[in-house]
Amino acid sequence: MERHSLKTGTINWIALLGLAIGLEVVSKMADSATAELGAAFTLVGLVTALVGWFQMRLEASEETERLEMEELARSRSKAALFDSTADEAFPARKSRMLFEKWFVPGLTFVLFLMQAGGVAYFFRDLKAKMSTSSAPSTLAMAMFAGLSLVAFLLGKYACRLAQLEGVRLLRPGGSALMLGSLLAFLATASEALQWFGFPGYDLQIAWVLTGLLAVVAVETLLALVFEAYRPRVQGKEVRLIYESRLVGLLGQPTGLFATAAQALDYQFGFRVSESWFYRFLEEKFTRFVLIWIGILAASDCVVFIDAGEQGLRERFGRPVGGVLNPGIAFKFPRPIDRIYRHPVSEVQGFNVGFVPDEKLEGQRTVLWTRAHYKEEFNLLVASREQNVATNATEGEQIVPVNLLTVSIPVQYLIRDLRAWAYQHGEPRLLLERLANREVVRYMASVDIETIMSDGRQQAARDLRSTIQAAADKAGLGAEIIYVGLQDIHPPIGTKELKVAEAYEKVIGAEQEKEARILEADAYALETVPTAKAAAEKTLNDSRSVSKQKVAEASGRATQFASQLQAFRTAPGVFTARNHLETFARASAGSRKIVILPTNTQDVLLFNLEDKIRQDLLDVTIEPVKKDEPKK
Amino acid sequence: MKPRTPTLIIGGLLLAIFLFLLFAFQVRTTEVAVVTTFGSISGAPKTEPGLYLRLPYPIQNVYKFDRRLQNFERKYEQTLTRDKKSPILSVFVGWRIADADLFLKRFSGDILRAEASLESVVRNIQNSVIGRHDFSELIAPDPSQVKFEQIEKEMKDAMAVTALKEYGIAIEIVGIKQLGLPESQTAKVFERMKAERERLSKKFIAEGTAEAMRIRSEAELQRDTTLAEARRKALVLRGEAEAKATEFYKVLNQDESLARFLISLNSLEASLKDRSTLILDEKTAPLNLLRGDAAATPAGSTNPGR
Repeated sequence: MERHSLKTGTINWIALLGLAIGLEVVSKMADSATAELGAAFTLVGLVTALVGWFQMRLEASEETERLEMEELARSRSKAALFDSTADEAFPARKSRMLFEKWFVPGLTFVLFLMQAGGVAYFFRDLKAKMSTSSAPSTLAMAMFAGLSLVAFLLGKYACRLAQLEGVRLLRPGGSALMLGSLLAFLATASEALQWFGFPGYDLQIAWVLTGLLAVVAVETLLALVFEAYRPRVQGKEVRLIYESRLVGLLGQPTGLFATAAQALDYQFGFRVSESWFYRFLEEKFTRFVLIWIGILAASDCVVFIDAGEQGLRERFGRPVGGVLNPGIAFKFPRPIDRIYRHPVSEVQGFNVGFVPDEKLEGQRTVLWTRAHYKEEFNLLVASREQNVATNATEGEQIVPVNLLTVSIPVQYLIRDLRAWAYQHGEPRLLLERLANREVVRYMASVDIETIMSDGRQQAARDLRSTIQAAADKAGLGAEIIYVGLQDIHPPIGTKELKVAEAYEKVIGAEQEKEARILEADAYALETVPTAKAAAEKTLNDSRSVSKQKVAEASGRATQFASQLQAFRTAPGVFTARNHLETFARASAGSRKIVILPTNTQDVLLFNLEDKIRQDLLDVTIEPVKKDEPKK
Repeated sequence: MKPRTPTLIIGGLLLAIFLFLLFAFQVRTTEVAVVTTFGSISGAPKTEPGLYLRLPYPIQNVYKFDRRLQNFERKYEQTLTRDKKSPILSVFVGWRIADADLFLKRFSGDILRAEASLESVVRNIQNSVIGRHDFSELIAPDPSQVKFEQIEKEMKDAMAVTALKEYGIAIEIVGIKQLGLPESQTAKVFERMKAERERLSKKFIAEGTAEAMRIRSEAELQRDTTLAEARRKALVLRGEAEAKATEFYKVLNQDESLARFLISLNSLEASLKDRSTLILDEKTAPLNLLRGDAAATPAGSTNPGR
């Protein structure tokens, strides 16, 4: 019988290996996430089955060793040699004990790591698969069903054998096969649902199975911990810690209560399964399931439509009644009624011309010369100046355009929900494309200078009305509530060709022009009045001189008349007096050299050069006047 | 063993669901369904929403398609205009299934395959239509020159015929979503834009310089004119003063020799005003006194008045 169990154990792990490979291959073929999870569970089951099989071999060796030792003990009279119960006398038992003591916990930990790793892998993998969908495959459906059937037959046989003969080590492999069969069936069902027009269940089942794998991982870890603290009863069979109760339960749902009872009895050390509460649960379980299904169905009859939303009710696919407003709405459970909710009052939006970047959102200064979005698209704008140039040199291959960086956020509301939801497969995407089209069209004939300055507001208004017109023409049922030209500037350019910088330089040049004109104005404002003042001064000087001249002439004339009278009275005295007085007065400050020659033959030499530096002796010190106050 | 009522209910429910899935199907208002019996299409496509009966698989098969307006976008592709300019365009197309039977035959109901087929049609027509127009019909400063709508209509009309006849697809919207230039031309445009701006910068600075120069020269002209006028008036004033002074000087004619004597005295006084050196001999009055010539008469040779 032991040999038979060993054979079954061998078949179990080979079957599990085949099932894991089969599920993996077909899952790749049909792109089935459920089957991939099934392969992962089966792989974990394969490891437990292998360990069970190995442990079974050790126990078989131990049993053979025990029988041989008993036989030897009976055949020899002197049993001194075998009296000893030392471990060295029972190597197979020692091997088995060492295996259970060290290898099993170690392997259980490795099993936990495999399960945790699997959870992490599928979490990432399923998230990536959220946006994809696959076509149903009848061949995959058939293969899954076949694998399920084979695994079920082998697993059922192994579990039954384990139950009948008390071969507990066959249980892990049998349970793994039963679970593999169930998962293959689920993969079949998900493919069938897809076939019947209910896509998406494959991923949902896969998510549930990932959660289950996480629970099994936690169970494995807890089993390891509890193993250290459970009460040890002499002679009581040790539980296989690498065997998952949850896997056993899922593999054989009918044994739910048996497994629960076994677990409780084992952990607490007394028979919990005999309590009245446990028996009540066991008897009424089916009713509980029914009530649970009923609650689920009832919860599907109520839909809450949030503020800002509206709903559309469909009965067997046909729209029923009007649009549902926020509040509670009742319906028949699926598949009879469905209610689709849409955020109609909520402002929705998209961006034209740029892709925002969260990192750059925090920039406090927005400059033309620095990128302020993750991606900025350059729009073509007609160039008037270039147009003139092209006419001048006809035939030249010049693209008559400018480039402009534009960031336009567009916001909208859904006004006609039926048109929005029933007429268009991807209404938001269509609206975005229409808005892009209108912006490109508008820019195609706009003047770059105008749109960047005073035409900006008008451009925003024009764009809003053209986008609205395009949306109405397409029957989108959307209302454009805002179109903003938040950024509109020349492109940054490249490292070598900094276009935005060149635009900034123009603004600088304009400032410089103004500065130069203002400087000239200042010069003019200074020069003209100064000249006028100088002219006035010249005139006044002339007037002054003229008046002086006339006055002097008048005075001289009067003076002459008086002098003439004096002269006529005493001509000699008058002339002599005037002559000598004038001479004395005029030569008072002059250096005088008086020559009194005694010998007219002498030659006199005078140095009449001006001295650069006057000698002290040359300085004429004016006598201090008596009436002058002393300083 | 007698089955219990709850078990029967659950079993009945599961059976009902199973039978429902096997013998009935729903068509939503957004869908169109085609039923095939042993692979051949049976009956007209179901366009009215509601519940329909069917025979279970594999006898009958139901294909459901979304009959709402779908839209897809072509790649951003370089093309050539009639005037040999090469812009980059991306076109989007709004389409819906018009003939569900034909759509099923052509693409087995696979929308992705349909769009892939449609894409090649769109690409071909996009390039051929753009090739019939000048670049100035896409971008021009004069809005009346731009023929966006016409170009899009030409594309739509050309696509619609093929798409409906060959694929059972109705083309409802064709639009140019993006319009740009390849990188090499973009660099050229950047270069030109920069040169244009630099030209403008220089123009502004030159304008400023010229205007400043004009203002300065005008100011200087005004200054010089004002000063010249002032000088002219000054000369007139001085002349007038001279004339008036001359009137006064007529009195000098009464004794010209005395007048000359007095003027000479004034001149002498003015000449010796600055530092000067006089070399005098003993004959010069009053130095003649140094010779002891006390009897020197005022009518002597040194008398300047005589």
